[in-house]
Formats: sequence, structure tokens, C-alpha cells
Amino acid sequence: MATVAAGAAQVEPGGAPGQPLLQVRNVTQCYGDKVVLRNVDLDVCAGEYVTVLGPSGSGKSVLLRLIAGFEDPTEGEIDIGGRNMVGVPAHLRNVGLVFQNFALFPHLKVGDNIAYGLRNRAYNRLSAGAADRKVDEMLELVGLEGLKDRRVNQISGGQRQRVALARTLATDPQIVLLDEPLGALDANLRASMKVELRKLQTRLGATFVHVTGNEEEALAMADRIIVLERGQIAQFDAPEKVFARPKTAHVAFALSRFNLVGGRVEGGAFVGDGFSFPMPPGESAAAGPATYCVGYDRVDVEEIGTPLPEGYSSIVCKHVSHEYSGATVTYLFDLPDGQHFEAQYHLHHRKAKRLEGGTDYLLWWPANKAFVYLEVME
Amino acid sequence: MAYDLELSHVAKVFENGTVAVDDFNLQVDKGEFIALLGPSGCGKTTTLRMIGGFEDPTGGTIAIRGRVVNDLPPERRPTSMIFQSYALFPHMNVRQNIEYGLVVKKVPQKERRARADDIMEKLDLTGIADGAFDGLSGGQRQRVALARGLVVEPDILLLDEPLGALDADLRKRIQTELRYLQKSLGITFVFVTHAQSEALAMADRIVVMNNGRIEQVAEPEVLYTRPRTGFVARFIGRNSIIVGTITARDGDIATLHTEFGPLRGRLVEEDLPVGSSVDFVIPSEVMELYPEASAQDPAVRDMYGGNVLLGKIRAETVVGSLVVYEVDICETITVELESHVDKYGRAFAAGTPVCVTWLPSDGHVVSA
Repeated sequence: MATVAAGAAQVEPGGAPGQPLLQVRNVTQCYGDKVVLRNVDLDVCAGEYVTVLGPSGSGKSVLLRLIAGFEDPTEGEIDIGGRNMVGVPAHLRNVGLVFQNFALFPHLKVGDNIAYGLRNRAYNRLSAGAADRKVDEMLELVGLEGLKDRRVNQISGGQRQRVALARTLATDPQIVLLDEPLGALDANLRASMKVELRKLQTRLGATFVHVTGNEEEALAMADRIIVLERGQIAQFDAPEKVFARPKTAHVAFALSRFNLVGGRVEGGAFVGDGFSFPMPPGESAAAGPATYCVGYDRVDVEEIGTPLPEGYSSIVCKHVSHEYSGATVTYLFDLPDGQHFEAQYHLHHRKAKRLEGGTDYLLWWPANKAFVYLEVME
Repeated sequence: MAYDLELSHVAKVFENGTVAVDDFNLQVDKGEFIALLGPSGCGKTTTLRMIGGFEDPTGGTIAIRGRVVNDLPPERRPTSMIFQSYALFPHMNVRQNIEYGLVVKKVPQKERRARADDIMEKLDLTGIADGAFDGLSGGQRQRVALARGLVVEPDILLLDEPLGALDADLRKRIQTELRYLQKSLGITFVFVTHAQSEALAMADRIVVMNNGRIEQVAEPEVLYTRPRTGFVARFIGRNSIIVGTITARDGDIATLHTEFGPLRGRLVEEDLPVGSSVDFVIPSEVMELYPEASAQDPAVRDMYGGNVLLGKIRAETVVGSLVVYEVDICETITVELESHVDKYGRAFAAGTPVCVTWLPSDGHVVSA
């Protein structure tokens, strides 16, 4: 058992798997009159990978800063391992942080960057020899053996991201907080780091809270996703559940995989300028402004005149162009009132279509896969 | 009719003897969106700089609308270049930055204003015309740089990794905007990028470059479904590649000897003889998964022409409606399959033994 320095709030390694390790209780954060987080309540279990998805200004980075201890909440409580952390400074919370810009020391070698926290932290400081062994262990963990004596400015972006991760993991944090960790990497690297990061977390059994503006990261990596909308939790659930039924139009928007059509509910139908869909089964038919939502991948494109199958809703609209992204093709359409509508074909699932730009097509989708939200997106 | 842009046998050998570009031939029609795609050092940026007049070719000719421009300096060519860094002037406001190119060309002030107003409106910059450079977001800077390039009404707009300085989320949005803009202006764009997703989404045709040479010029879809070389197949898409040797041919279908036994695929180059060393390229979306026992089923073997490999699911990643399976084959290679979650339900969790199949006509045999 390591000696714990007086005053350190270090707690026993997190409770049994499945027990909440992190509890955010009714947290509100204000800056002057501005409320950036409102009544946020959440539990994260030991060993979970949780992503926090939201646009900029949704409060996601503030939430991370509160958990890390860079700020204390205006109201509410943050518990880690069953202890209230409000008032406990960041360096005594035993949480690790990985930043988008990596925040490495450019003048130090890779090994010294990783060892920095071990040699300089407030408690459980390691001897030079022990720190060195830990550095070797971490380099192996993140696949950077042999780069120990390289300077940080002599390695690639992807390697720097791994050094930042190794530096954080070296201190054996109870919770690893990641703020847009892949944001600075190019697309190819981002895809491979995404997989690596998740594998690493699974192997370590560590608890990760990962803030991102990228829905693909949020969906692919998480055990559970928190979708933040203007400082409040709009939905907190497993990715497949969030995707199957986004709770609000904003959640659907944040996932970038849904057509969101503005209109109104009227006489038991969803009505727009120049089109009308029957209400999807089970949706409230209360009259008023509303948003119709259907996944890009649910929409089929057919020639006008093709008989509509039972249980499907449809619309005729004009094909604008298409975007090819390898295994998927997205067809872009304009609705009669100028709103955009998309159909995405996954080529493993459906054959690609040859469509003429400027021509009208019949689009249909299963009525029971659409939702209507009684809210309007700006 | 003359092409908007025509490069014939263009070469660039640097003074130290490095061959940056070798025998580059390309014809571009008016209004085309062309992407030059390749890894760093492939010669794509050098090619773009030669079109813009920032580098002199050591061989060949560059013609714009039928006129050879080899000897013209950049400012006398009907091209504009957008640099990755944008090269905007930090001490000027948005309007001054945009009008700069017209000042250089000695366009009278009244016309300058009118043309700048017009382009600012097209690019949704009118509201920030007097905005200081410092206050602009990354996306706004990108649009100002575009406006500055377009305001001089070039025949061809050259773009050097214009999205490189933007963060990933913004990049995707601007990518769609840029494509809409290019189509509505009808101006020829030549665009350099190392990101295949950008090239695939935006370009009408993609020029894939490697070691100074063109590997393939094709529409995104063709590049993806009909790669001509192993390099293209490795660089584009999520292809699995098995090396082999041709042992027999029947029309455009070849039988290959591979470490996994005989496999069959479609020949991309008709003239590859028996005995050729080849790369067998299998796109991720053409493979099918079956339960392990199906490997013994003669009907399955027959249907897929013997392309049936035993494997085990290493990982299953669900991203919305998309699912990616990593499958270990015979403990030697890992193939990736992309599918729609509805297709197999969730029948193939990590650890499940499976067989992987594909039709001979869906796998591409290219020279190694």
C-alpha cells in the first residue's frame, strides 16, 4: 500500500465494477448571470467509457473542468469514490487529464514528459528508479518503445497524443478525463487513434470521461453517451438507444444522422409548406410547431410512380447532388419549401443509384421509424 | 475545344536531382472539381504550384484555355491560389483583404467595392466586412481567403489543403459548402489534399499521386470500386489485400494461389498473364459473414466461387446504423467489414467464429 501524504484526498481505488465511481449531484455552474450548466445529475460507473457530446457552448468542457477540480460548482456536489470533492484542488483528486493540444513540455524528452507527474506530484512521489520503470511500462502500453529519448518536437502528432495519454495514465488516475483528445489529429490518424484509445481503456479497465463535439467518436467509443444541450443533459444512455430514439430534436441534430424537417402538427398529420406526412404511430398529435425526424439511412429513393409499400410515408423532391464516401453514398434533395433532405445508402446493404441532378424522385421510409418532436430547431 | 487546363508531360526535377513530378498528363474540363490526392512527398503540391506559376516545370507544357502559360508569372496567369495558411493580412479588415488582389491589378476603387460586395454576399461575409482579422473564427478566415481568391475572377482556383487548418468538425461542414459554391460558380477548382475523405466527398475526379507519378485518375466511385493499382487500393477506402499469384484465367476472372488456398477475383488489367504476382483487393462492403459451419456447405462454396475464409470476430464497433467488424483470418491477417446494423442484427459479437465470403466479381486483382 502506497503511503498517502497528509492532506491528500486520494481515495481507495474505485468501488466494485458497476458501482458509481463518479457522481455529479444537481450541479449548476454560473458565470455572472450566465448559467452554463443547470441541474446536472449523473453517475459514471468504474470501468465505464462515457462520452460527453455537445456543440460548442453546451457546457461540456465546463463539466469536465468541474470534475477535474479546476473550478468548483456554483451549486451541487461532485463525489469521486464516495467522497465529496468540492473544495479539493485538482492535484489532489487523483483524476488524469488529456487535452486536445496535448500540453506537453516541448523542451523535454518523451520519457521526462511522462515521468514529470510521477516525480513532482503532491503525494506518492516516486523515486527516480521507480519512475523510470513506470515510464518504460507506459511507453510499452501506448506503443512508443524506443522513443523515450526523443524530444517532443521531433515526433509526430499521433505520437504526441500517445505521450500525453501515457503521461496521464502513469499516475494511475481513478478517472481519466479527455477534452477533445483527437481534435488536433487529421482524419486518418483520428480514426486509428479512436480504436486504440478504446482498446487501451478496455485493457486497463479504467474509467474514461471523454468530451467531444464529434458524434462519430461519441457513438463509436462510448458505453454511454451524455448529450448536452445548453447546459442540461438532454439524454444519457447507451449509444444504440440514443441513436434508436433521440429524446429531443437537438439530440437528433447532434448525431448528424437524421433529417430534421420543420413544420407543424395539424389535424393529426405533420404538415409543411407543400407536403404532409401522416403522424408516425405512437407520436403525440397535439397541434403546434414541430420537427419531423427520420434517419438518413431509413430513406429509399425510387422513381416517381413506384407503388408505395404498406406502412411507409413518402415525399416527392428534387435531387441536388450526391456525396460519395466509400462504403456509403449520400443523396441530397431539396424539399418543396427549400429544406434539405438526405438519403444515405450503405453499399453493403443497398445498391447505389444513378440519379439525375435537378430531377424529382419519390422518397419513402417506414412510418414507424420516424419521430415528431413538438419543438422547432432555430 | 480547348480544355480549361491541360498538363502535358509535365516534369519537375529539383537542382539536387530529386524528381518531384514525372510525366504528368491531365486534361480538365471547365467547371470540374479536381482533387490531387496522395501522401506527403508525392508531388501533388509541386504540381499545384507549377499550375499557379510558383514553380517552373523542368519539362512539358501547362496550358490554360488553350494558351501555354509556362513563361507567365503567377500574377499574369488566370489562376488564384488559396494557401493552407490563408496568407491573409492581419493588419487589414475583411474588405481590405478581399480587395487586395484588385488593388494589385489596379482595378478602379468603385469597381473594387462592387466586386468585393458581390463576392462577400455569395460567401455570407457581408455582415463582417469591416471586421478585424483577429476577431474572425477559423471558418470565417477560410471564407475570406476564398473570397480573396475568387474576387479576381480567375479561370481556375487552386487550393492547397484549404481545410487543413480547420478542426475536424468544421472541416466536414465547410467541405459541403465548398462543393455547393464550386458548382454554383461553375469555376474549375484544383484542390490538393492528403485526406481521402475530402477528395471523395468533393471532387468530380481524383488524381491519385505517388512518388511524383499519377497512379490513377478517376471519379471517386470508380477509384473506390475499380482501383487500378495496389497503391490506390491501399490508399483509398477500407480494402483488405491478400497477395497472390495468378494460376489460371477464365475471361476476366482469375484464379489465384494465396496463403489461404485458391481464391478467385476479377482482373482489372486484362493483360496480366498467368504467373503474375498480384494484390487481391477486397473492398470492405462486398464481404459477407456467415456462421462458421457454412464453410462446409457446398452451396456457399459454390456461390462464392471458393472465396470462403474461416475467421473469428476480433471486434465489433457500432456507429449509429453503421457497424464495423474486424475479423482475424487464420491468425495471419485482419480484414475489416463495414455493414448496416440491420443486415446481420447483432449476430456476430466479438469472439464469434465465422466465415468471410465474397463474389469473385467483387474482388479486384491488380498487379503488385
